[in-house]
Amino acid sequence: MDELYLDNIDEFVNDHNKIVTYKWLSLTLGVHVNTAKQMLYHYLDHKRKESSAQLHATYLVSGKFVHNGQTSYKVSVVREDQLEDFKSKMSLIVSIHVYSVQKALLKDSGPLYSVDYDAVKDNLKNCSRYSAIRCANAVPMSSLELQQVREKQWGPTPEPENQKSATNGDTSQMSKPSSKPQKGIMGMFTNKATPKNQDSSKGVTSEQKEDTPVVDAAKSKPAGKSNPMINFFGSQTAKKPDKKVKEEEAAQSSSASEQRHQSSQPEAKHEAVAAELPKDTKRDCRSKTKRIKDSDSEEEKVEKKKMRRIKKPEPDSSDEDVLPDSPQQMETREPSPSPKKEQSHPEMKTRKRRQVLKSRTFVDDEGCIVTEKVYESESYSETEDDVPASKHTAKDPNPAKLPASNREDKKSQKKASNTNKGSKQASIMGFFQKK
Amino acid sequence: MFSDLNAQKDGSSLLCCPTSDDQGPIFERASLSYIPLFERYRVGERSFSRQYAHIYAARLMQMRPLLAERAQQKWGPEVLIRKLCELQTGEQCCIVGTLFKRMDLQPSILKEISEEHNLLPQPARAKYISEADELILEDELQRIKLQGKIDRDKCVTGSVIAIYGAERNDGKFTVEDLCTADLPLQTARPTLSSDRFVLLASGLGLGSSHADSMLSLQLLVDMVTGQLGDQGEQSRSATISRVLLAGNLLSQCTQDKDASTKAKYLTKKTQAGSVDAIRLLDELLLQLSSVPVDVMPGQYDPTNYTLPQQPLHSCMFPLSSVYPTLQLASNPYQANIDGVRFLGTSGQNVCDIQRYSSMDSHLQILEETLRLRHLAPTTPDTLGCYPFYQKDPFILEECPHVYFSGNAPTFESKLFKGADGQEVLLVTVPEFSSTQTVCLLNLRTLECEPISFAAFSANDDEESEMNISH
Amino acid sequence: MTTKRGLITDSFKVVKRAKRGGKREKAPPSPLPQKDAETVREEDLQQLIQFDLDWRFGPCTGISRLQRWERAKHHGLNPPEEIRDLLLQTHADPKYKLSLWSEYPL
Repeated sequence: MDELYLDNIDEFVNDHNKIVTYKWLSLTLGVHVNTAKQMLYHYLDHKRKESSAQLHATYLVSGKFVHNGQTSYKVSVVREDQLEDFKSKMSLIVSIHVYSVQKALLKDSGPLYSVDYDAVKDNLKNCSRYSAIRCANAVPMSSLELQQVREKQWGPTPEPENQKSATNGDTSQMSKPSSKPQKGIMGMFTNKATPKNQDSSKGVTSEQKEDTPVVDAAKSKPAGKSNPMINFFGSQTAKKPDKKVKEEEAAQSSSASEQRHQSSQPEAKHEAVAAELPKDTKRDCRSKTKRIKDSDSEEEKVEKKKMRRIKKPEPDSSDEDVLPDSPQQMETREPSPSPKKEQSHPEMKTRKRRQVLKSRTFVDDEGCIVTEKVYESESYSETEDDVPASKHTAKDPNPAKLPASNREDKKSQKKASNTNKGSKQASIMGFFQKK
Repeated sequence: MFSDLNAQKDGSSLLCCPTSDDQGPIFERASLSYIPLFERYRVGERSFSRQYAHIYAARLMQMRPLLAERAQQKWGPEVLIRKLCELQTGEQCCIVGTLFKRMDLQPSILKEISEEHNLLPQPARAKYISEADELILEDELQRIKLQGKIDRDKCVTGSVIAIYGAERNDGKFTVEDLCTADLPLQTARPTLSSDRFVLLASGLGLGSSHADSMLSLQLLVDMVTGQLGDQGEQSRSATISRVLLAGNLLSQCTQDKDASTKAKYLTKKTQAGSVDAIRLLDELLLQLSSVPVDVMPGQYDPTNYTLPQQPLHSCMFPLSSVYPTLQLASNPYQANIDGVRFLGTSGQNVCDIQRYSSMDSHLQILEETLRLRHLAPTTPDTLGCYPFYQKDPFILEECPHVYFSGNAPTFESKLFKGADGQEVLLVTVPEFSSTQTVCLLNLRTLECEPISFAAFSANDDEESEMNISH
Repeated sequence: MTTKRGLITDSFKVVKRAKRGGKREKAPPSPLPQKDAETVREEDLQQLIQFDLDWRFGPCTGISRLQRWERAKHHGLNPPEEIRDLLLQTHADPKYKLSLWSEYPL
C-alpha cells in the first residue's frame, strides 16, 4: 500500500487542524474501519519518530473490568496520557486501537462525538459501509412492502380522499383531487415536523427560493411572484390562482424530491400523514361552514392559509429533513416531471442540521449556578461556514479528498446563486418596490 | 460470557501499520428466529367511557380459579374457600381477593381539592408508605381489614392473593398464611448450539441536557455495528443478533411542560422538545439498521401514556423505518427469540411498586410480580392503564424465560427457579443515560453480563486532582 | 366555544333521556298488561335486568350486556344461555343491548 495516506492524515491534522477519528477517516478515504485504525497508528508512530510537531491521540480500550466484585465488559475512550494507567486497571484487555489523532489536547470527549456525528451525518445512508459486520436482512424495503407492513401493523388507514370529498364540498369543484389533500398534508407536516420554519418566515421564504432552481425555471418565476401577493391579500379573493399555482409547484417539487429520494427516502410517513389528514380537513370544513360569521375564526383561517402556502415547498430544501409527499400525488404525478433537470442537481443540500456542544449557565432551583454542556441541534446553511472550509479543501492536491470537496464546492456555488435570487423576493416590500 | 469469548487474542492487532491489500474482515450478522408476541398488548378500539371496576373484576375472575388451586395445593384439598359474604367469625378458612392498601400519603386529587383551604403542598416523596397504612382485602361484594402475618409494607394495591386465617371478634381478619398465584407453566427452552446474544438497553435519554453520555451511546452503536475494536471483538459483535431498547429513548427534558400550561397562541410556533430528539433517534436507528432492533416506548416517549403503551409510530422514523430490521414494539414487550421467551417492560410498573411498597430493589420487585403472576398490579390504582373489561392482559399466561424491566438504577440479574421447575432469568436493564451500561444476554446459557461505556471528560482530571489533594 | 356548547347540550340530553327512560321502565307494567308482545318484551327485559343485577358477572356499566355475558362465559362463570340467545335476537334494540344503568352518566 502506498503511504500517501500519511500525507493525507498529516494534512487533515496539521493543516486543517481537524480531529481525525478512525471512523471519519474510514468514511473519508473509503477504507475499512480496521485499516483506518492502523493508518492512524502508523501515522502517529511515524510522526513520533520524526518528533516534529506535538500530537495528541486518544485510544479505545475494551476488555474485562472488575469493579466491586462484579465483572463487566468495559469499552472506553481514553487519552494517551491516561492509557497506561487505565490499562493497568483492566483485568483483561480484549482490544485496543487508536481512536483519534489531533493537534490539541482534548479536555473532554465532546468534540470526538461531534466529529463522528458529522461524519455519520454526511454518510447517513451507508454509514456502516466500512464496518466489519454485514447483515443480509438490512435491505431497505420497497414502498410496496412497506405499505404492506404498515397495514399489518396499524390496520387499514382511512382513505383520505373519500373523506375529503365527503367533508370538503367547497373546494372540490375547482381543485383536482390530488392537490387539496396534498396541501393538507404539507400543512400538517410542516407545522409539526420541520422545526426550522418555526421562527422566521423570512427563512422560509428564502428557502422557497432556493428550491426554485430545482424545478422548471420558467414556471417557478411566476409562481414566486404571485406568492407574496396572495400572501398579502390572504383570503378568498386570491383563492383560485393561488391554488393553481400551488398545484403546479407541488407537482414539480414533489416529483423532484421523489426522484431524488425514491430509493432511500421512503414514503414512510405517507400513511401516517394520510391518516391524520381527515381530521384536519374536517376541522377546516367546520370552521368554514359553521363559523363564517365569527371574525376570530376567519382570521385564523387566513392565517392558516398563509402558513400553509408559505411553507409548502419547503420539503424540497434539504435531504435530512422529513420529506412529506402524499401517496396520491405519487401515483398521479409520476410520469410528469422532466427528469433531466433534477438529475443535474442531485445533491441540493442547502440547509443542514448539526449537533453543537454548548455550555449553558443558569441558576438552578437551589440557587446554585450550574453550567451544563448541552448538545443542541442547530440549523445552518453551508454558505455560513462550510464554504471557506470547502474552498480550502478544493486546493487540496490530495486525490482522495477531491470528490467530496468538489461536491461541496458545487453546492456552495449553487447556494450562493440561490440566495441571491432569494433576497429579491424575500419580503413583500421587495415585491412592491420592484413594481 | 461475551468478555471471555472475546479474550482470545492479545487485542493489539490494530497497533501496527496497515498491510497491503488487506481489505479488512467482514462478518455476517447472526440471525435468529423471531416471533413477536405483543399482539395481546395492542389496544384496538379505544373507549374510555368505562370505569376501572371492570379491570379489577376481570382480574379477580381470572385469578380466582388459579388461586383456589394454589390454596388447595398449599393448605390441603379440604381447605374451606369462602367468599367474604359467607364469612363466619372464628372460622378458619381461605379467602381469595384483591388487596387494597389504604395509604394516608397516597396523592389524591380529591384530597387536594377538599383541603384547598389549608394550602399545605405535599412534598414530593420517594415513597408513599407510612405506619398508618392499612391492608384491606376485597372480593366482588365486600371488604375486610387484614392483620396478622402479612407484610403490610411489601404488599401493593391490586395484587390478587389467597389468605388463610379467621375473622376475629373485632371484625378484622387475622392472616396466618398467604399464597400467591405464582409462576405459570413454562415451555422448555431449546438447546442452542452456539452463543447468540441479545443486547438489552434502556433509558437512552436523547435530548437531555447532559451531553456526556452521547459519546458513550455512539460507542455502543459502533460496537454493535462492528466498527469498534479489533477483528476478534468484531466477530463477537456479529453474534449480537438482536438489540432491544426498553423505553425512555427520549429524556424527560423533552417533555415540555409549557406546552400544556401556556396559551396556544404563545406556543404556536415553538417546536416540541421531542422533535430534535426523535430525529436523533431516527439517525441512531438508521446506524443500527445492520442489526434487528426492537424499540419499546417508555414513560417519556411520544406515544400513549397509559399501559399498555402502543408502539411508536413509524412516521417518526422516516430514515430507519424502511429497514425490515426495525421493529416498533409495545410496552409491555413479549417475543420469542430463537425459542427463548422474553417478557418485559420499560420499568414503569417496577418504579410504581417501588414508590408504594417497602421494596427498593428492582430485581426483588421483578421477582415479586412474577410470584403474583401479574406484570403491573398497581394498575389502574397508581399507574395509568387502559380500561380493559374482558380480561386483564397483564396477567401472565405463560412463564417467560427472560423477564426484564428497563430504566433501573443499576444492572442486576438473577436466575429465578420456580416451584414447577421453571427457570426465569430476571434482568433489570440499567438506564443508559445515567449508567452508560447495557447488558448482553447469551441465549444459549441465559447468562447476562453488563457492558459499560466510558469516555473521558474534563471532570476526570479534577476528580483525580482532588483525590491527590485529600 | 362550539365544542363547549356541544358538551353542555350533550349532558342535558343525557339527563333528559335518563329520566324518560326511568319512567318508561316503571310505567308500562301497570297500564298495558293485556298486549302479548308488550308482556313478552316486559318479561324479557325483566330477565335481562336480573342478569344485570347478578353480581357474580361483574360490573355492568359502560359495556353492553352481551360483552358482559361473554366475559362471564370466558371466565367460566356459566352465565345463562337464554340471556345470550335473547340478546342475539334483539341486538339492534338499545333497550336490550345496554344494561339497566346505561343511561346514567358515569
